[in-house]
Amino acid sequence: MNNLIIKRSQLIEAQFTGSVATGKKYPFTQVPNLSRNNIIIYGFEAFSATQLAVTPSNNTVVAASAIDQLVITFVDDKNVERVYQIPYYTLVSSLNGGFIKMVKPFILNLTRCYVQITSTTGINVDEVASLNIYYSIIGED
Amino acid sequence: MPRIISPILNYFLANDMAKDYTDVQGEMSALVRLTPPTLAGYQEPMYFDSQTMLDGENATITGIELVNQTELSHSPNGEVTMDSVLFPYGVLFISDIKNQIIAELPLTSLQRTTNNGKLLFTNFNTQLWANCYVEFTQAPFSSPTIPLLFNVYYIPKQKN
Repeated sequence: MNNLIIKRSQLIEAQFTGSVATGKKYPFTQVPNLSRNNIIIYGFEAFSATQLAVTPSNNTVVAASAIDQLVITFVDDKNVERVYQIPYYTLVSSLNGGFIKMVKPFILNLTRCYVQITSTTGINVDEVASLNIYYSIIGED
Repeated sequence: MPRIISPILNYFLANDMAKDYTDVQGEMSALVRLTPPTLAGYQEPMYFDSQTMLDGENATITGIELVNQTELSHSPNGEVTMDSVLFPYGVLFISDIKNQIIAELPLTSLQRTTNNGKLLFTNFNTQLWANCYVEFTQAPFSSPTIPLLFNVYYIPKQKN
């Protein structure tokens, strides 16, 4: 079994602003670092408050008891939904044998990616879904 | 019987994006200690001391592991190590010589015991160890001055 090797990583987050509602799309906060065309994404890892209680932006991460109520969609630079509604739980490495989810490398369009809530129980306004994006820069070792 | 490898997996293996979790972790390892300064608060970067052997110029870092109290109760200097209750509040930042962030790694993802024994594999080549730091993100961290211990696996770079 192979596991991912981290070349570069960036924490990203989608905040449940306004109201917490089932089906509503919560976009990720834009990260200029990831908006370059020479960056390819090849892995993801999600966190609950058990792994990362508060993000470096000082936002509270969603509780471990609620991560089975979230799905994530990743969109590429051609606006294709490359990973559509993947359960958040499956991206939490510590709950999946320590393996990090790998995907066929693609250029990410972070502003079009979003998180959806499938049930609002235990999820509070202004909490965030926090992920680590693993990427490499084309041409770099 | 020959092993069949999918083209995508082959791409990952050929480009150092993945390897078998039982693979060699690195040629060498170093236990690195980070002691927060006395008055360090939360959301304040705590930089490592310079370790030139771990700089990108001299080594490729192939894995980083955070050693918790269960694994090593006291540092080699005899100090009690940091309580793992604080780990969900910490993030390790790997930076290069220009202070650009190469990677942001939550401390809990560096713990083997919480990741089914798996080491977090890395392939860092441009880091400057003295520019790397840990930042705690919330109030439970209250200037303990108790060290964090990292086991860093690396491959030295050959010099002409």
